[in-house]
Amino acid sequence: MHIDESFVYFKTKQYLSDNGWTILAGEPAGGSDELPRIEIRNPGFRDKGSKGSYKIDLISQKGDVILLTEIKVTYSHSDITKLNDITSTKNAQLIAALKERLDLDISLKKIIKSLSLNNLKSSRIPYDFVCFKVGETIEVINQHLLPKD
Amino acid sequence: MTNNTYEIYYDAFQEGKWFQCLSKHLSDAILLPISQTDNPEVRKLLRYDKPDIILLHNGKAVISLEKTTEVPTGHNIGQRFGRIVCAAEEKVIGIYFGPFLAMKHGTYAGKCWLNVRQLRAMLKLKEFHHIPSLAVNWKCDSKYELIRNGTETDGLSSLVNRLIEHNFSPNITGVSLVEQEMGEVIDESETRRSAYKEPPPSARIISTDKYKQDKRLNGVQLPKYFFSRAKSLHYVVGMKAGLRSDPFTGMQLVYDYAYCRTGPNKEDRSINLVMEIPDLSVKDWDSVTNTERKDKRMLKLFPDLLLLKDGVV
Repeated sequence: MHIDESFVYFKTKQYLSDNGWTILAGEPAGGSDELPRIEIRNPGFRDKGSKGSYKIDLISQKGDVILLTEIKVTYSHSDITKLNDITSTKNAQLIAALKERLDLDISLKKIIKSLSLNNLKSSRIPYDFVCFKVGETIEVINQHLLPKD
Repeated sequence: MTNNTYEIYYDAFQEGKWFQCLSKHLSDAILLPISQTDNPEVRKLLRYDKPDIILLHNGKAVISLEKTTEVPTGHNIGQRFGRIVCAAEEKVIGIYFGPFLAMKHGTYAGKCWLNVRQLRAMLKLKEFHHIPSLAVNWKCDSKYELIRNGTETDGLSSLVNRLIEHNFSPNITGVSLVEQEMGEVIDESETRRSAYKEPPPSARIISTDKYKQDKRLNGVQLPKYFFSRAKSLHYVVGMKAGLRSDPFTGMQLVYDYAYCRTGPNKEDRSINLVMEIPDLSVKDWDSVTNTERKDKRMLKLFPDLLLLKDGVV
């Protein structure tokens, strides 16, 4: 089984869909997808291009919960930093981006941060992050953070 | 090997699965990554660039497909053209699936239409290589947003199914319908914007004699054919940040096929293809020592003349 980021992306989407999540937006590492992309722009950068902006790998919804997922083959702490930044200092931009692209108001919704990867190495997942460990099957770490069916 | 064995080679796994879903005939297809193969039927289609999907039928490459959701602005689309050209040269049906019209978001938001010079070049590919190069529109809604409800692939799925069911014959109705639509889009676009009838300002056709005054060519022995061609397409590209491939290595081929070529080989040109990179010096060019790098390889391979800031290649 060849595991690269596009494989982890596909398997994560499939798992979330199978478990009642609606996939709202996505940005695969390579290639394209049928999902719209959400770009959280850097308000300090007005020129062409995406300098300083964030794109989230997967955005899903179940009821009043929005799940933000960053996808890699191997754990990277930069994904933790990114999602923490998006849900704190750039929260207003996230809300605006989803409103503009999807006509979705998430201002009153709960946001959960998550990683999806194949190789966790020896890293610890922060207590406020869900982690989908993708292999032949998917193991979920901190599953209690997710809404129950 | 049994009849009807399919292998889907993918650049990204989700695109391989997506392609598999286009036809029930592909439900048992084996999915394999392009990056991990040394299969010559696949490798031959990677000479210029890497397509998204390569379909093999009974071990033989039959479709090379490029899929994109990119808004068709500027060079977004033409940069992929090398993959389509390679497919045509290898007598494999090439399919481009992407929006012909879509909304660009952000600071410079607005409707963006496909540069139909690419469609003209694709029809020329068929004329010279006798194998279809097809562009299938990923349609948008009334707000010019890509349709993403599953129906966007109906046309493509129908085409792929017909090709499979007719053993990839290029002469089926499904192919001619797509080519007819491509022609209609070219006509409509040229009516809407007459500039599409000619090359863009960055790729003007000029008299070849003008190069006789170019000091960069002092002491350079150009092939005899160069000045025997009265006209040259002079494509000027910006590379302020250094040598790079996209979008120019693909776009040069759009202009080559649309305006310069009279046949399947690069020697079959009635108009020279000249590329100028005024930001790049000979020293900058020489500093990139990896001759297999896509930009170096493709920019040396196709132009009749490559002019730099202070010399020629």
